Amino acid sequence: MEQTSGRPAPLLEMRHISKTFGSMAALKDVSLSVERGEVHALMGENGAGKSTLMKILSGAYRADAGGSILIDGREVDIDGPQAGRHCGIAVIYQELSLAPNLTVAQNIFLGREHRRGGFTDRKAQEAACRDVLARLRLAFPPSTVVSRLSLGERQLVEIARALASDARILVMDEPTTSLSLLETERLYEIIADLKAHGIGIIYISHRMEEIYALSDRVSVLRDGRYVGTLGRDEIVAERLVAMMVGRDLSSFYKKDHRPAADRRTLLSVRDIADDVRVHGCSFDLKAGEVLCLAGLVGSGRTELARLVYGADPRTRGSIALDGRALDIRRARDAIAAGIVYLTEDRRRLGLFLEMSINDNVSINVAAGDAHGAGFTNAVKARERADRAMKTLEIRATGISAKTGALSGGNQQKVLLGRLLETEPRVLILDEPTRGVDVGAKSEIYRLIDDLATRGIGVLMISSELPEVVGVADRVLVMRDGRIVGEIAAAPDQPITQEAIMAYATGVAAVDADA
Amino acid sequence: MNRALLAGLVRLAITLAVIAAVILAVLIPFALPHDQPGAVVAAFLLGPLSSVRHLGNVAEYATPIAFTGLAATVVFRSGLFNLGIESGVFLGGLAATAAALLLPSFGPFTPLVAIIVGAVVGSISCVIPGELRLRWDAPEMVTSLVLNFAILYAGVFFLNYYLRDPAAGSLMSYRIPADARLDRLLSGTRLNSGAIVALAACLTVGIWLYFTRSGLNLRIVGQGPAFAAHLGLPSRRIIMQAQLVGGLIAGMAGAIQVLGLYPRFSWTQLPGLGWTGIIIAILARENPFYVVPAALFLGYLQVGGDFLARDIGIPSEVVGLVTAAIMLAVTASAIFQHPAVLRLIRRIRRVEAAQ
Amino acid sequence: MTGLAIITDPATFATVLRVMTPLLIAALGILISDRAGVFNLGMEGMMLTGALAGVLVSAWTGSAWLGLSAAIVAGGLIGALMAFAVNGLGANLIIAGIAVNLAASSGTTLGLFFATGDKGMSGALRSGVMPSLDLPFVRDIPGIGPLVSGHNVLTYGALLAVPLISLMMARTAFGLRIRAVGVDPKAAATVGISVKLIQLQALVLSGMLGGMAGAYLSMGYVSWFAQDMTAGRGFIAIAIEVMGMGTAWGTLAATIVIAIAETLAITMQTFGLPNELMQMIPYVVPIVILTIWTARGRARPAGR
Repeated sequence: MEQTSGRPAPLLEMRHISKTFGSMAALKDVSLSVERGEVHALMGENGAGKSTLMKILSGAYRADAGGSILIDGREVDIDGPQAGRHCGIAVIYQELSLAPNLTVAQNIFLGREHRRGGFTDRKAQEAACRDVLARLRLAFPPSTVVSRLSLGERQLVEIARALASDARILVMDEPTTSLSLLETERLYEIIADLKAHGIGIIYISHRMEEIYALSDRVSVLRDGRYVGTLGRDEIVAERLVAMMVGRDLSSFYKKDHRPAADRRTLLSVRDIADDVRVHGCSFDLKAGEVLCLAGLVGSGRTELARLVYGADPRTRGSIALDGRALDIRRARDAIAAGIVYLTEDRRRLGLFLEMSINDNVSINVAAGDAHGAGFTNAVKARERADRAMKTLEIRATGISAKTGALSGGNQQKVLLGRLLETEPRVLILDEPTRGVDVGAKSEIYRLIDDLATRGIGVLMISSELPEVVGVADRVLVMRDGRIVGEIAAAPDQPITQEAIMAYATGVAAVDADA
Repeated sequence: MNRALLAGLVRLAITLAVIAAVILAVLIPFALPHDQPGAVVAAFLLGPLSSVRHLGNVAEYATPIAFTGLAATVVFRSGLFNLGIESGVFLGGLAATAAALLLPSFGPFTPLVAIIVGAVVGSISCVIPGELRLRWDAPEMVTSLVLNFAILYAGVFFLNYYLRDPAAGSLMSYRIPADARLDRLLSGTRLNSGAIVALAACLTVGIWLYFTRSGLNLRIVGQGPAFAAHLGLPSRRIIMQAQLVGGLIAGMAGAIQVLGLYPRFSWTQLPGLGWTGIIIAILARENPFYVVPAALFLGYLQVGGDFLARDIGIPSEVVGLVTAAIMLAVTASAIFQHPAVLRLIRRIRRVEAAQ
Repeated sequence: MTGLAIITDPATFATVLRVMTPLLIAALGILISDRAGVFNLGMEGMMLTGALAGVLVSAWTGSAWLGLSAAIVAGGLIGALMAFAVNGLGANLIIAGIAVNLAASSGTTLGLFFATGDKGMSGALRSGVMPSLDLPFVRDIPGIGPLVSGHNVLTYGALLAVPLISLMMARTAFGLRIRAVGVDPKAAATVGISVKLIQLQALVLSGMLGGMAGAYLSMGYVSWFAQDMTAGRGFIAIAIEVMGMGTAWGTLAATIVIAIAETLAITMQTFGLPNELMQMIPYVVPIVILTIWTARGRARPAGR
């Protein structure tokens, strides 16, 4: 147990860590300490240096000379992933790092197999694995092939791997991204248990509620520099955001457009379903309204949006725009009618990273611009790209810059620019601020507000409740493929996160359409 | 001066420097045991440039591989790794020969008819793997790889049973009628009107790919099939279209090669022009406009190899080693993505951004 | 000869084994590389190099075994070279494979020319041949004895390699690491496995098997080296490995199917069926089988 006399050295201390890539400084003189049994949250915008710092800790990168890492007060030299593991450091990455074709036990002992006579000792490994799984109260056997596990279960296997390697310092990088509510609660319990065993945890997250629930201290990085640390009692959302952004965001969310109560109905969806993930949903979207689809991951929000957009075939239901029925069979029909969709998976489905901003912006409308004989219109494409650069404030060297070289926020703006060039009536945004840093987020909110002012109907899917509350005129909450609740903002009664969660989790009674 | 252009030139300069270094690195071990190592290198590098006739030889070598390079470019742009071009060339040459021998003469249009027949038949080699992939998800790289050999033996069968000249010593076709042969452009070489067709084909495909809607669609599908579906593009049709066009060009390559160069069809092995086409497509970074210089460059190497064989007595196969090394070097991201290179290029561009 | 007589003829059985030996060794080599995520398209070139190295070294030393060793070393070196090109230089894997094939085709011709003055064949060299193995006791078993005994030592080696490689993949740390690296290199790297090292080892091993397969061609199947004598066997081996769905036993099964097809092609020529059409069979069979399998959604994504 801890010494009573004098201050014991902290479990981990990182002192004056700097890291430069080429001529670019990613970290400048950052220090961080973690006590035994402490959850130390690490926050900052994308690119603030969090992951670089953690990669240095785990041995994936080497810090520049001048800094030091101390464990139990003793300086250690972490010169590679192996060394990091020897020091008892384990990182649970956001993108899972399990080999899906191997079993749980094989994964847990990958790289340090139990061996007997040249072969791996399957029995010994599985026995050891069973102990760890029991400690985490995981029910599947060690011989389960990882590809059969859910994303959440895989995350827990990663934690099991860390435990099995006797890790004393655990880094969790946005661990709840792929977890269900139930699994998240399980994770909280496990974290509490790990704390009780004296393990120090560095917890990276953007979600304020997790920071409140878990952390003992929060440190904030910005532009590769250490900004400050708040103790448990000092954690206030506004203060953290201000620290992260480096300026006061009084109007972080902007809602200037007129409330839509008196506007005409733009899009009208009735009883739409694919009978797999979506079971009969109806709603109206008014011109100039920002309507949010909330709900837990897997509740059918994206699937509903894709049905409206015609990306997936629907089994029943009707869609009308301006009171005229639309025959949407595929995405092209929706685009032609003025309904466009910003995908949540922009790297896979949306952007051509190898192509220029110019090409990316004009892809959807190139057909309309085309000259006779099927030639593309380069002049018009350039006009469009210029316009997008200007109105959306895309930061790039020019319209011929490759989109792959842009930041997440600017990539998202390129996509938005492409959609806006089609002069849409209805804009469906699926997690438009995912993977976008705080500054760009605020710009996207402002843009959404502008669009609504111009009379475009915005249907937005978001998992971030503060964002939903901040931008929405009205919220539809989905659960199990159905719309289970509707919350409209009124001047005297704003939308609250609690109300949304109550519907999303099924606490509130079902009062939606029959 | 336009900074972006300058940055491009820097890249080009680095590429050329790397290629030069690779050529010397491969050549020097062969040159050193020789009495005059300098003469070996000079024969290889300067020989092809020594006369108009040799420059004509360069263009002659470049003609078929410009076609196959173009075919590979189109096929790869669709996102499929279809290697059927290799047998497409063979089939195109065979079918053109068959058309010239078996069909009646069409007067001055005889070569045109034969080339069209060659192109259409040759396209089968690319269409089949593409169709198997799109319809049944069979891996096109593997099926096209073995299909090449299946087509080869089918073709040799056809040659043996239908086109073979029993009077000739070995397995070869009857003599191709004179009115089906392509015009020679330069005396002392076998450079023929096919070279002009190759140039025109590269320009046409380049314009198609970069300046038409249909070409843009192909580039979209090749880069992001998921998004193309999302956009509602008919991906399958676009991909098949590319296989067909690629196959047609490959078939044309074979037809023009046979009608332009040979008195008889005598291929009993795959000619290897398809593989060279892949190399060209890579050198040209899958850009049709760059296919012509890339093909001329490989033609230049080949003529250099001929000089080595004739003047020095080193087999011209050295060219294969040189080409292989160049292939690796120009695709090596360690060189072209090297931080120093990237920094240099960024510095040049940054000046532009600040202006 | 009737069809039945051909099938029951021990000579047919021997032909099947003869045909399948190089294919099996090469396909197992591709298997190892494929599982490590570095699909070896250069197998054809590795075989060709092995074939020449075996002939030259056995002719110089007078020992077939030294020739075989040289072939294995040569194949392994090319594997190392390919790994360097891919992981050191950052070249594309498929392009590296194509480059290896091109370089080997030219390089072996040059090598043969500088060694013998001939570009086409090594007929003038007195190169060695790998011995046949008479299995004691087994050969005396009536019925199957003569069938099983008396084949080339590399044929037994190839057959033995199937369980060995299967066991290596399933039960050794090296095999597990290969599989982990192949399916998710980032995952492997986070637990401290060196992806580059594993891929280097896999490609070297793959190249060694390729060299061995080539040695069988020039020192067993026939007793000389000829220009481009592999004749696309490295590519058939690729098709076989894909048909085998990434397992050693599956690869064996696929090899047997192809070898039987090729043997049929050889024997059917005696019926006066066109030689060239028969030669198509071993190339058409993998296309048909692969298509049927993927159409049923059973094969794993292959190759690239």
